[in-house]
Amino acid sequence: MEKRIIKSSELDPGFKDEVASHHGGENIQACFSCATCAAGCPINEIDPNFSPIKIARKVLLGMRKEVLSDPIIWLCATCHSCYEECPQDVRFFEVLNVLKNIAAREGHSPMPWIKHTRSVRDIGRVFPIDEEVSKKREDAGLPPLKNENRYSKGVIENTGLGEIERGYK
Amino acid sequence: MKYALYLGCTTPAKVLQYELSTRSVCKKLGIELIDLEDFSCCGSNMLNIDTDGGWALACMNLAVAERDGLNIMTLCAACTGVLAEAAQMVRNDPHFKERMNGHLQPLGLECKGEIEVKHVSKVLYEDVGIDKLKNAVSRDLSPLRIAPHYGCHYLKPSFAYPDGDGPGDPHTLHELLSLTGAEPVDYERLLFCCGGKTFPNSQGHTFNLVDRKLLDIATHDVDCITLQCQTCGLMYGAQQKAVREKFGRDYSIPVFLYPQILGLALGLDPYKELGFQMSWIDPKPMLEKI
Repeated sequence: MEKRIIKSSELDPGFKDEVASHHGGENIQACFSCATCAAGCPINEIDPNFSPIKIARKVLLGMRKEVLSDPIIWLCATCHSCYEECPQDVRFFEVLNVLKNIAAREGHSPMPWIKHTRSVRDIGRVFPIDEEVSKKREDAGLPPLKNENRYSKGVIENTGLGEIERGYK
Repeated sequence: MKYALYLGCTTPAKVLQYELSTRSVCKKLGIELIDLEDFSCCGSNMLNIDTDGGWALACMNLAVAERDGLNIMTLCAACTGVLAEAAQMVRNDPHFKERMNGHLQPLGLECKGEIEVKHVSKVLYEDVGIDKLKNAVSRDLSPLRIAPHYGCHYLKPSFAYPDGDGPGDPHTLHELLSLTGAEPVDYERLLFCCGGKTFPNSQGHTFNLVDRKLLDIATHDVDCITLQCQTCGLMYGAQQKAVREKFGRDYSIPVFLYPQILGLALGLDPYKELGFQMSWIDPKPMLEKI
């Protein structure tokens, strides 16, 4: 049982304000823990460890370190059910994006999202049009596509994406 | 009728039957599609690690189409959601618009929020219209029972789609299927998510989601699933064998993109124009019925 005790000395009471200061996190304090978000969540149905209400409650309590380092926050399927159904307009999907954004800056992002970002920076797309794909496109009578983009690198470097990506090996 | 065709990342690399059937159907119906070489990834997956950067990629694509005065036609549900939501925010939130243009200005681009983002199904439903599509049908698909799958981002966030289906009780894909003569079949997990966004990080979760939906659909004696997003297609189609083996199931349900089904009804060649040879599950039993 000891593990379940929440020590107030380890809490960060400013965490909810930190989350609310980001675009998308503004409504976190409106949560009254009704669990509608969890009831409609497909991930929660197959894996109760992913619980939107539990994550929201932890944010409100100030369990910053535990929330941000928990790999569970990266499991969201982005279906937006929680966003649509919340009676308090908390927009949990967006709150979770804020949490993932902060966690990514602190080194916790899974590598696929970093790799996708690098690919978009370099060629403008997540999946390259390699020789095999080009051949298939040609055989299907589809127009050729390039592995380059004149703007994507600039967008990534001009925003936080570049800084975050550089923080990963 | 003219649109900039936004292919996204996945369709042109992995689901060519979607691109091919869309181009063929649009050609047949007189919808002109323009390919813009400056389109990039919509930023959907980048929202995970930096929402500001993800939205900036979306706005960059909007700006590219705006420069040529073209509305965007999308194929992927996730690209549609991200681009349509970005367009709504640019129109409704001056601070967001200013911040985004701050990112785009060094590249010589500006996003004004003046264009529309429409999924191919919505272009067919709204711009062409059910009546005109019905009149163009030359091959009757009435022997077919089809399970529709809308795709989460085709419906949500509903904020991005002011005149869309709404999140809870969609009907447009049902109507688009009915006009071909086919019977759209309802099932309990109609709105259940394909799990595509969990695939890069946690395939175990994806397979579990896919299996639950396929188990439900398998009890309804349908000829195929028809959907409107290539990622949903990859999950239910390309991953179906792996899911079947993992859970010891015996279902085998063909999966097609809506323009392939509409193309059949319009009398187009199933292979040369609609790419049925690229199907994940053998399409012949279904094609032989019509």
